[in-house]
Amino acid sequence: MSVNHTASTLTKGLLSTVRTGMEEAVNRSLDRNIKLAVTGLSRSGKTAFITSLVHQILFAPDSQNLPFWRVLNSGRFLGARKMEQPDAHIAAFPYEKALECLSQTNPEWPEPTQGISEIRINMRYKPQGMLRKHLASSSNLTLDIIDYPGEWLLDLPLLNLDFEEWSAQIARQCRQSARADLAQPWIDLLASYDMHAPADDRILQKLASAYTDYLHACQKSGRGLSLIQPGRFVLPGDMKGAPALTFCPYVGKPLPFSLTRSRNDKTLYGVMRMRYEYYKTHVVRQFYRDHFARFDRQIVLVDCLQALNTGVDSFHDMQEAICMIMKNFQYGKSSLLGRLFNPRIDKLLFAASKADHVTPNQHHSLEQFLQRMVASAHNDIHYEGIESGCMAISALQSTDNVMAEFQGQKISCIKGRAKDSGEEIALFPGEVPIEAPQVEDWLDERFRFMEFKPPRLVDVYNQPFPHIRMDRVLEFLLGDKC
Amino acid sequence: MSTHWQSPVVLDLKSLEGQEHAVEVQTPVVVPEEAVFVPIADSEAVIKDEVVGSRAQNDSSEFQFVAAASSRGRGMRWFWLSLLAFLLLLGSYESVILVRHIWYEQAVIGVLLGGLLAIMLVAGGWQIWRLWKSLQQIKTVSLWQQRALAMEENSADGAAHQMVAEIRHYYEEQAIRLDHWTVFQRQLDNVHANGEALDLFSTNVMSSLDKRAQKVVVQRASEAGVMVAMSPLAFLDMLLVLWRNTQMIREIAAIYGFFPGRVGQWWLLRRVFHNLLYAGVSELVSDAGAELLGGKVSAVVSAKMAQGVGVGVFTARLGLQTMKLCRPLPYRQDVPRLSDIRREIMASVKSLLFKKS
Repeated sequence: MSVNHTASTLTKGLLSTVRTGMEEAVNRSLDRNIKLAVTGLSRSGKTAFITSLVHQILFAPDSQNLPFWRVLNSGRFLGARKMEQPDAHIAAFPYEKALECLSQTNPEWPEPTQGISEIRINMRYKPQGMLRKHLASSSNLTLDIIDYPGEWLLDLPLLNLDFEEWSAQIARQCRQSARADLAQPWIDLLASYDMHAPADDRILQKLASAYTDYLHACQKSGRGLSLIQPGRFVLPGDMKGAPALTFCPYVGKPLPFSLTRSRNDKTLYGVMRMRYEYYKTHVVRQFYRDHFARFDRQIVLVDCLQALNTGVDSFHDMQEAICMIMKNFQYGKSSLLGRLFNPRIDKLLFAASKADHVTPNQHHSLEQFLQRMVASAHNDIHYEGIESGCMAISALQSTDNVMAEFQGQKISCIKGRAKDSGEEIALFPGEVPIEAPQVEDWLDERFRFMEFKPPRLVDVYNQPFPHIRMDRVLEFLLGDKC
Repeated sequence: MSTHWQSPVVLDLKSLEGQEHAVEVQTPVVVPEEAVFVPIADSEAVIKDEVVGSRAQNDSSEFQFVAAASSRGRGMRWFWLSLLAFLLLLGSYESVILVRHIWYEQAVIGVLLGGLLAIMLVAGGWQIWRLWKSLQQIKTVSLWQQRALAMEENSADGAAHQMVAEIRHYYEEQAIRLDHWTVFQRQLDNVHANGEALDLFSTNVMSSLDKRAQKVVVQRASEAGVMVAMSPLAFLDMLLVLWRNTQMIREIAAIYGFFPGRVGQWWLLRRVFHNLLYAGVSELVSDAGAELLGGKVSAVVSAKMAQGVGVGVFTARLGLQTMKLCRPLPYRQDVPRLSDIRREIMASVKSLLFKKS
């Protein structure tokens, strides 16, 4: 009897040891890691989105308002935690700072991103599959998110262009009515120098600063111009004043073939071309290689309302910018081996951000508008056979939906604090068209979607944010992994 | 495309009505029947025009069938109805005369007969009233199903919120408790589009009813399977199956809030059979695969057991079809699968047979 008993205890102990070992091994080998690309032009709400996403995940176990995130709703989600990020040399994503901004008595949106930062979250859940359920009692999913200035994103298309092609592209842009007057001072300055002359650093600096002024002017013009290249000129980060940023594209009279084709680096033109190439290989490509080549999932945030507000030129500008950017990501179904060596984005979500700035009955129109806007990029992606979707979302809902009486009719409207005045305002923000409006529709100031300040929240540090469809975003991006 | 969009309007803060964060589902409005109800014959066109998507196509076959049948059978129906009314009138007239006649001859027997006649009339009327009521209920449900299918998924016009409130009101009237209603209400926000609201309702609220109904299906189906596996007579099998099935249908209907009387239950059974016959081919094919495989395996074990499992699966299919008919919302992603139920039936039949031997 006692022998039997000892034997059974031994077996049990052995079994449990084997089980724990197996569990570890399985956890290790099945440990999943998702690298999420949060893509969006500047001011499209990337930082707010990341802050909200992280916050929703961290507070998910207590959250009542994530009904569409299935792992949570089926009770399998155990918890989440912020982890040490994988790359120690990159700044940590200022999550706490963003929360601080939002917790003030007069909450403000997080400040625009100036440099690259990173955050890693580890989620723990009970696995669902028959096999995995028996092998491991809990599984991990690691989510890596990188935040970076949207301005830098527009450098990616440069990778496929040489100096002449890029210059031609810039020249074409400068002829557009929205940019022509802004570009004129720089073009005049450029025309006053002889490109054949030997390079002089002072001249180069003058040209670069004139070009930078033009880019800044584009940004601040309020005309909603998105195509601003190179991004480091307006947001140099730690590269301010470096020779790699001291050049500009050449627009103007066609230059003799001998100059453009010669590899002479002594002329003004030659140096500009050389520095452009340097910029491409050492700044853009490195940025791309370090941060952009290994994504599994992508969300593209588009501020459709801004495009509508600023008019037809801005709309086309933004459309072109998005299509250009999308060409630089790798899409496709990833296989098991491929995931290790050559990951590709196998799920892509287009999100119309700031959906809380319109009434709920306009969300569908907003989605359709976005779909039309990104149609060409969308088609390419469909061709690769990957799953994609379109959603109207709001990372942090800054308005309340209320009903109001207007001219004897009940209309649905939104109420929030206006961004410029900080006063509480209620308005019917107007309807969103479902396709790109005709030029004449833009003339009579039909679209004036107002910006809002973040809401006053009771306890930012302990409660999830109010949001619109962040749960569906989570389900779309992570749902099949856990 | 029309290019008329409404421009922005700034409103007076004082003109706002109660601000609502989470949506308060408004008090249900009883939809006037003539306003919304589309005669089934016409609804075919509505469904074909408005609903795109595989889910809808699957389900529309049922409506198409009903529509076709009702237009063709209209002449016959008048014939039967008038014949029935004629016989009823004739019968009651005859019996009244007869009872009165006996009353004069033999007062005691006359009173007795008169009492019996009265009881019969009241009971019959009660049954007819219940039938009529359950028909109304079923009509309401199929109306809800049609509305859910025709609803624009991505629009947030509040149609789903309204419908959900109506469904809830219906269950309240039937004194059926909807689990998780408060959870659902907390989660539902007025930013949710129709499709999202229906999804939430389906996964949160309807699923508890579904689970109960599915449990009944599994139980009844395994019972039927076991009975057939044990019974020595083929004729007895048939009666047993019929008895179990009608009982199951009544139970499922009760879970979803219908209480059809005996007559209504036959009517329901008829409709379930119709749907079963005209069920989508795809559904049949997918089920048949599982059955063929399982059937072969169980046939190897025992012929009687194969028969039992076969009958059980048939009962289960009947049950699932009844669930589909009685459920106020068409299934969304959470369609119950026959193959899951099948496994349980087989297990119970097997355990019984092997225990016996």
